[in-house]
Amino acid sequence: MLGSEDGSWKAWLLLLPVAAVYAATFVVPLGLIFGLSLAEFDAGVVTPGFDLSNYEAALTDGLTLPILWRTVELAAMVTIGAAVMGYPVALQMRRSGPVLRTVILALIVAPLLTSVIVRNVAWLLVLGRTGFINETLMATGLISRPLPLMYNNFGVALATLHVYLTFAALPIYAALVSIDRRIEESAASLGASPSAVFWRVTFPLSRSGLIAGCSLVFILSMGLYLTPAIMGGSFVVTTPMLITDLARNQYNWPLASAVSVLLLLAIGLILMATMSLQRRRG
Amino acid sequence: MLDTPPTAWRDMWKPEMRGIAAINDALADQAMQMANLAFGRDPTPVDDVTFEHLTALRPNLISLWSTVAQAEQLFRSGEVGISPLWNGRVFKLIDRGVPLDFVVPEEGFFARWNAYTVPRNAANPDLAMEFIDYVMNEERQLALAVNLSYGSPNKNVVYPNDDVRRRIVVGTPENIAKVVPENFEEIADNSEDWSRRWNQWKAARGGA
Repeated sequence: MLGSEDGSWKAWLLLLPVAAVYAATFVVPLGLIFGLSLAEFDAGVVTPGFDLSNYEAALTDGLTLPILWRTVELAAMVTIGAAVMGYPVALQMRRSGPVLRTVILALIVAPLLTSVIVRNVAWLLVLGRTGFINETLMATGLISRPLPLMYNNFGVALATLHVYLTFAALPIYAALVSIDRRIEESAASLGASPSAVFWRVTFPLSRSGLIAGCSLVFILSMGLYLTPAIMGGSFVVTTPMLITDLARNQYNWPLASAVSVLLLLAIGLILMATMSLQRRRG
Repeated sequence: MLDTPPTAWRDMWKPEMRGIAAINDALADQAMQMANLAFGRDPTPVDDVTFEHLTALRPNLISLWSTVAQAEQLFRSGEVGISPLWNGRVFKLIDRGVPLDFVVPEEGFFARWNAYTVPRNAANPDLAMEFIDYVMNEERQLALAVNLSYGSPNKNVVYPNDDVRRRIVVGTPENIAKVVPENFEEIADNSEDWSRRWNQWKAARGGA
């Protein structure tokens, strides 16, 4: 800790570079956005000040809040999907030998290595109206008109899950491998069935990883912009898309900043609520 | 994909276009004005009636596109059968073998242009004017017209043949007569309101 006798204050010096980078690229811009959100905007002219009218406009325009809610819904869909699919992946990684584990790891990390645009355009070939799933089902006569597999929440959630699965699976895996196997063995030798061992020992001990993974996926999903634009055919509008429209097409930076602050606030509140719920239960 | 080629904006609303039409999200102001044109109205105002027509179009729309690359991909992969798209891009796709055609809609169309601007207090105004003279010169304007299908405001530019004139669209008097003038002042003054309504329309549930 700070000023401890073994002279570890020197370790704090090592944090200076990262602190400087964060200050320059994160804290300062965030402060600017916050300041801008309180500025006045009239016919393209921004007047610095202390004015809550942007927040009032955002909260009462009948657009910002519904879209924020839909963004939360989409992020929740992705998060639940990532948890449900990521957990078994992490379990399997823990159980596998080093070779299989590396293969699984490579498979779930691979989507991160492709460009977001290439990945989303590739989904078109799979999920599109003339994509291979629809073509196959139509050819076999199982369906008579193409299924709406993309240009909706489902397509966006699926394409997002494809990339973000790894952000859920890896923290869960890290939590699972830190569990002392002897605890599970003790439970089993005392007569617990395999499912009881899992639900009463393994799962509770891995919960911190699950929460870390879900939080990561949720935060990332609240920032979705390109995937909904491409996979959602623009019909899935998320808050970041709204912010982009305000900033880039309407040049209303103060309102765009206010909506950004609201988004940040919403993410913070939801994470705090989840954490406190967890603390009460744990 | 289409048995009979469309001739008008209004054709996008036909039942046989269900799930194969797309419109432009990046220049939504044109999409809204187009909905007015399709129903015999002036391009503006954009109002409740405009959005009633857009909502009626909704079942036919498979996607909105926000970049030209995306629009090109939608046509190439056969996802989309009808969409407004810039002439130059359409003819490039046709040259690459995509089964497409460019139609000048009966109701008329919007023509936008790129403008060179020398800002007040520019550091090198003379050099800037010289640059404009350079790019507006016949030889270079002709190259733009032939290769990228951009019409030229330089009256000395003579398009070499009918194909080039057809590709430029505003290269023939009949087509120039179909250009619908846009009220940019009105568009700019209402952009906030239009944008809000457009976003609301996009995000409305029960659409696509």
